[in-house]
Amino acid sequence: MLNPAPMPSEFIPVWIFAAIVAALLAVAFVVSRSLRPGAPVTGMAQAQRENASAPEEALWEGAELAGFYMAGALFAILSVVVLFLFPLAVEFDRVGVVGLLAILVFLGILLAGCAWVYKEGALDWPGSRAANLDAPLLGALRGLASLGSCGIAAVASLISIVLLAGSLSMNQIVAAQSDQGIWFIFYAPVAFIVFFASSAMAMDRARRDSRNAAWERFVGTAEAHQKTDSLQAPGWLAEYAGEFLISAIATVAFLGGWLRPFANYRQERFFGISVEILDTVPSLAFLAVAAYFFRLARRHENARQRRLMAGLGGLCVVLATVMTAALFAPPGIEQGLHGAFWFLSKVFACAWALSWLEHALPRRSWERRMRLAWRWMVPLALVSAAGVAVAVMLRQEWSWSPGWSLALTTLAILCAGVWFAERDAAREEASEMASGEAG
Amino acid sequence: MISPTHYFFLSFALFAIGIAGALARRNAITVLMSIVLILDAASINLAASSRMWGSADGQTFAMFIIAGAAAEAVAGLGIIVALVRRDQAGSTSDLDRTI
Amino acid sequence: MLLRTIAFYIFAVPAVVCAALAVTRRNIVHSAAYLTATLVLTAGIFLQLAASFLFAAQILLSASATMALFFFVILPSRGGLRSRAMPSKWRTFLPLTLALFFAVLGFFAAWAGRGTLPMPAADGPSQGNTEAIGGAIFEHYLLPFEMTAVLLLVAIVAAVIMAKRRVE
Repeated sequence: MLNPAPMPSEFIPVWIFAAIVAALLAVAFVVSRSLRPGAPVTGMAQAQRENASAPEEALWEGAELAGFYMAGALFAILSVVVLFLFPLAVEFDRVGVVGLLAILVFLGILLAGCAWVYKEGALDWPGSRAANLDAPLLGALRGLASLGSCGIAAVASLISIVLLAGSLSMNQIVAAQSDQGIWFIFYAPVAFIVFFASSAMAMDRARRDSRNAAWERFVGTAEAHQKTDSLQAPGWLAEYAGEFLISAIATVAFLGGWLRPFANYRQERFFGISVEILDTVPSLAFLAVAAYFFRLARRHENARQRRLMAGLGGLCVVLATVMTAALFAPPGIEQGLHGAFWFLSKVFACAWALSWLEHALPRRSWERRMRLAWRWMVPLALVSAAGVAVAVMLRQEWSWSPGWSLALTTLAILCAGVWFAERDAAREEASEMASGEAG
Repeated sequence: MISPTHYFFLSFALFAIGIAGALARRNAITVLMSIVLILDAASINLAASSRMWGSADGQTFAMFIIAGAAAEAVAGLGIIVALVRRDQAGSTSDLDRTI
Repeated sequence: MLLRTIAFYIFAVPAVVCAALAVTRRNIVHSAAYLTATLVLTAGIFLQLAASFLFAAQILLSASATMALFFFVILPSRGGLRSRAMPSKWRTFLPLTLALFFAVLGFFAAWAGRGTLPMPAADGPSQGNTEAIGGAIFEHYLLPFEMTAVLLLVAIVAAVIMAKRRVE
């Protein structure tokens, strides 16, 4: 039975969001129309056009078309798979073993298909002559293909979380982590790794010395222009925004959102110290930051900077007192303030880790990213979803302890992953010896 | 919700446009797009009926239709890609006379 | 009620206009762009029907995955993006008549039955649309669900075969 229609006021955030999206689309169309080569532009855009015209003609061979079609077909079909799994994951606690078997049969059929596709060599993504050419349209299509592929992997990894939480609402997911007393990253570590890694790959962060970011193909490399170049600014801003968005989703889904570490263990003591001492962490953190600001304030040359640092230090001291006062306030205020502190610190920690990852690891080619996404990330995410489904069913029907059931399935997934890795490495060696390609 | 008749009118209008496009156009890709439009019209009809009768069956059927449309787009565009690769058509816009 | 009618027309009229433009453009890329707009507006219609999961599915699957696939095939095209031959006069006339016939038939059916259709229940507090669809799949539509898996398998196999066969 369908539930009655919700009040229209409940959909107001959606309408606002839709209006913002429509406005952004309109702006994008207007901007691209004014920047297109047909319009008389000089300088960098004209140089781009003159450089790109000759090589781009040679690119559109059958191989390029087939490669893009393959990426698009995989993206479309796996989107359907992932989208079908969400309603089932939400209702998973209501169905018995029959439901679990249905999901496993569904995933089994599709993973068998993916295994055949892998054997046929459709997931090889060999490098082509077009790899380093400066063509805008090709760069845009490649960017779209890699974004879609890594995005599917990230969304698929969230199915494990929905299975564990039983709801798509972010409030409910954090509440479920509070109820079950443990952050979901410990229940589904494979899903977390897949989400983090594929989101990092999807971001396609630009680096100063490489030309592989999709938007860099259009406006030129990051090093060729100042960071304040107006044409590049939206690209950088989009990357920062994406980083924080990914960190926020990872925090809510895997890291317990706004929960304090050991949020449920209110009575326990470790080595004689009560766990409640963690409640002082927000105040101590702000005091430490305030001390850092005061130290900076003393050592800076510029008088205005010194005043600014001292002011910020004072602000941090005020926040520390607010956090301490919240401990004695009604529970609602304490939850709000401390929850905000824990949530923001987790988001910033994730964003820092993401930045570190993307700047420390060497940038590889687009082909390697597609290979990683389709051979590893997407299958691992789906297998992790199957494993978590089995674990949840074990916990429900046969009352296994959640720790044991999830540890068992995670171990099974890791063994399967290692087995696949060895076969994949052997296959790559064989193909490299055969064709002598450069990775 | 407003009267379901509004949604049925919209659905029939889109359906008619889709049929006109599928039968009249000669380019294969445009025909495929018209077929997606027809399926979309059916989905609107099903969703409106589902809300009308208060049952989730119509919306589930619409989900299956959307999935079927994606699979059909994959297969149809695959045929087009195969034709272009075998040089039976110079490009996707040359498919006017091969079909 | 007036607000809802206005909201309906805000989505319905542009949807019909974009659909008509999509099937009549000479430029294939324009056609695909208008079709994407139509699909997004249809998602808005789904949202008005309080089918929130269908709204998300339409945007993620139809407007994003299917249309991305269309664009991946249209854009790397060598010979240009304009359809060379528009239909002849007779070839336009017959399908238009057929379409008009279907449209008039449908409008008449909807108009004739307008008083007899059950109105939906009054608005209430929101509950999950995803849960409702999930429940429906588990209770009634498990076999079509598995058949969808087979359908997608067939589509994947077809895609690989058609994309990977060497040109003779």
